[in-house]
Amino acid sequence: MAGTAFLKTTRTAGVSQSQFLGFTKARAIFFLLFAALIAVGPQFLYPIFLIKVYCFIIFACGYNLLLGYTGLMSFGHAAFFGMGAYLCGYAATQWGLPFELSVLAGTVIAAAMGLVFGWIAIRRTGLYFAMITLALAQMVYFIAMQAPFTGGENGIQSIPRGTVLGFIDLSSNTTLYWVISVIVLAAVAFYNRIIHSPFGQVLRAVRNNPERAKSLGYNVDRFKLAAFTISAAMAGFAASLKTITFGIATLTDVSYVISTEVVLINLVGGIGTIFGPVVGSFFILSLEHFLAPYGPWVLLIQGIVFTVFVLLFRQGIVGELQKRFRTHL
Amino acid sequence: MAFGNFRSILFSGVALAALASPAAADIKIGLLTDLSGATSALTGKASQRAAEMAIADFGGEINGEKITLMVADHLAKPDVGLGIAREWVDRENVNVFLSVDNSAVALAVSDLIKDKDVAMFHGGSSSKLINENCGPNQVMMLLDTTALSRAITIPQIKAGSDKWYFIAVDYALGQDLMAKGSAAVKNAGGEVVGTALHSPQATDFSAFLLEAQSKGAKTIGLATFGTWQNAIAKQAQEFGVTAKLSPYYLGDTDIHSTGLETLQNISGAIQFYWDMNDKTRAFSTKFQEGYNRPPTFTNAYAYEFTHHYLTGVKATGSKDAKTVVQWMRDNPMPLINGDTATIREDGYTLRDVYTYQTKKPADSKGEWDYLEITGKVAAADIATPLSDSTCPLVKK
Repeated sequence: MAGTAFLKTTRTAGVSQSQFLGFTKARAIFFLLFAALIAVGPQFLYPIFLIKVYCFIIFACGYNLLLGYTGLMSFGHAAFFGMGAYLCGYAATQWGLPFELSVLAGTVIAAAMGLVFGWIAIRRTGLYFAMITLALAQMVYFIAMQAPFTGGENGIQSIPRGTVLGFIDLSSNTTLYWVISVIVLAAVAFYNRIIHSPFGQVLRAVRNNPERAKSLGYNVDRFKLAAFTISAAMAGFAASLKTITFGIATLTDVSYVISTEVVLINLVGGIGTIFGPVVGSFFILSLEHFLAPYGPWVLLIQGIVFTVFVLLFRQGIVGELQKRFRTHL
Repeated sequence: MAFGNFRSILFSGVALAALASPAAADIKIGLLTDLSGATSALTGKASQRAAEMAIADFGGEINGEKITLMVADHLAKPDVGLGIAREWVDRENVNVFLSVDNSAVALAVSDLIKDKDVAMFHGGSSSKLINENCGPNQVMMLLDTTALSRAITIPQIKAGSDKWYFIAVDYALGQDLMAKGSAAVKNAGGEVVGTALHSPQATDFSAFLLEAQSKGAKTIGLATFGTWQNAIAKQAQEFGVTAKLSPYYLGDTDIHSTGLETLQNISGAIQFYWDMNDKTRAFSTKFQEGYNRPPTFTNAYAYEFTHHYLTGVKATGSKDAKTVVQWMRDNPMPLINGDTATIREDGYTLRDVYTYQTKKPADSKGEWDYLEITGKVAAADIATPLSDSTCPLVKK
């Protein structure tokens, strides 16, 4: 069963020679729809809210690379997200680095942590893997709470937005919106490219049948570690953009809630799909945003959504769509 | 089907955005408070009631402009609070933020409104807010940590309780309160016999209490809050600790939930108590027409500052944040208890503070009859002098 899935994906990739950067026709249409939504979005919705959704899209894409395409379920991504946010904030306020370098700092620290955590965690699979990542993330939370550089419960505040390349001033919400929009489109394209590259093929082989991948001569652990590190880096990158947008990095970013939220986003959107993280982020963050006035009810409704999706739409929104249209989205 | 859900969410978002778009000429007060967390009993809905009373005093409008009150929960998280505040500034044209009763949230919002035409009366107590983070459009309603530490320690040291032990919650605010408290004790000629930090997960405080007892502490300063504070009081009683407990923050609501039985050996300082004089009692009666308990000091603030702000709007005929806040500084602020307060240029509010002692359960005459006011501390004795301020607005 698992073996056939592996063969099928190989064949699809082999047949569609015409695809560009890993985009088939269906995926290209969906991508353009997303781009159109981004273009008209600020007419209807608060741009800062949309930027937050876009940051979570990048984060969720990175997570889906690991969960959906490598078959590793991590409960510790808050550590990468949180530390990315803190380091980006720290670089921008204390070292006075410009936008690009601060974001880079946040991404690099997350990637480095991903490398270390991954190296420890990939020795186990399944529940044990999840538990190790959770334990490591809780340690990071504790450090964030106690270490002086994070500012404790105040967080790192007054983070300047700065300029892109020294001449695009980000202090206006509109400019910032378009910059982040370009970045999120690029990130989704990048994510799609990774999945539909030879490297992505191997990841899926590792997910479906690690023994067989090994027998074909692939170093399974090394591929898992690479996926984990890329995933962590994308979390740090997303967190850095969010930090620059909101001007604050706090304990929320490093708390376990972030780890569960990204699981929920992917579950609702569709695990192992390219556009699942996009749809899932819009769905979950809209729930949070528009139900915020009802306080604790948000958690209850999130719980119901989670249950409904697990029971009825296990493939998620995009998963159900691709089943109906018999394509890969 | 599933896609339909997604679309309808988007459309409902559009509808909500349309509903939320503001009518241009309102006076908008944004009450950004804690509606669900640890301090919600002290502020939250009750502060909303207080602000509504102040608005009702003006008949709900000034110079033909309607006064609207928006309320949101910042969950005591600076990122959530800042997010709401930013949206209110960008989309709702809010004129003033009220309450913001958490130092971390207040710091974040203070940064946001630095160059915007929005005023803020916040319930933060970090000294940073009246020093490097001060602004021409913001005012601190509470005492800052320095003044609070002095208000609690000075009168008690004068009364002979000169040996102090501090228990603080191990995060930034607790550590700050402990450091300021220790400094205040030393300045007033007292002695700090020991200090302890407890983790936010702690439930057993007996080791600290026994250490304080064995070191001969006469007073135990509690730089901590809510459930921790209640647990400490309970355990102090169980272990027969004779030292007095002195909390930094103790609301009537805390006493109500824990019971006077446990909290009978406590003294401290408070800015407003409902049963202090005829004026506060009259206010309290009116307050209880719309709420099920007497007002706490934080509720009193919400009323006093909203009232003073609206008086300022009326007097200046302007909604410009700096103009109105300047007017509020230039004119003394009437308080519920008949005193007046003045707002300094760094945003600190000079007002007298009252020392209290919790009543013995037998002396308590009713459900909310908890405190005995024992004295008064002059505002000037506890405030950090302006000459020590690092606020750039202070002219030296």
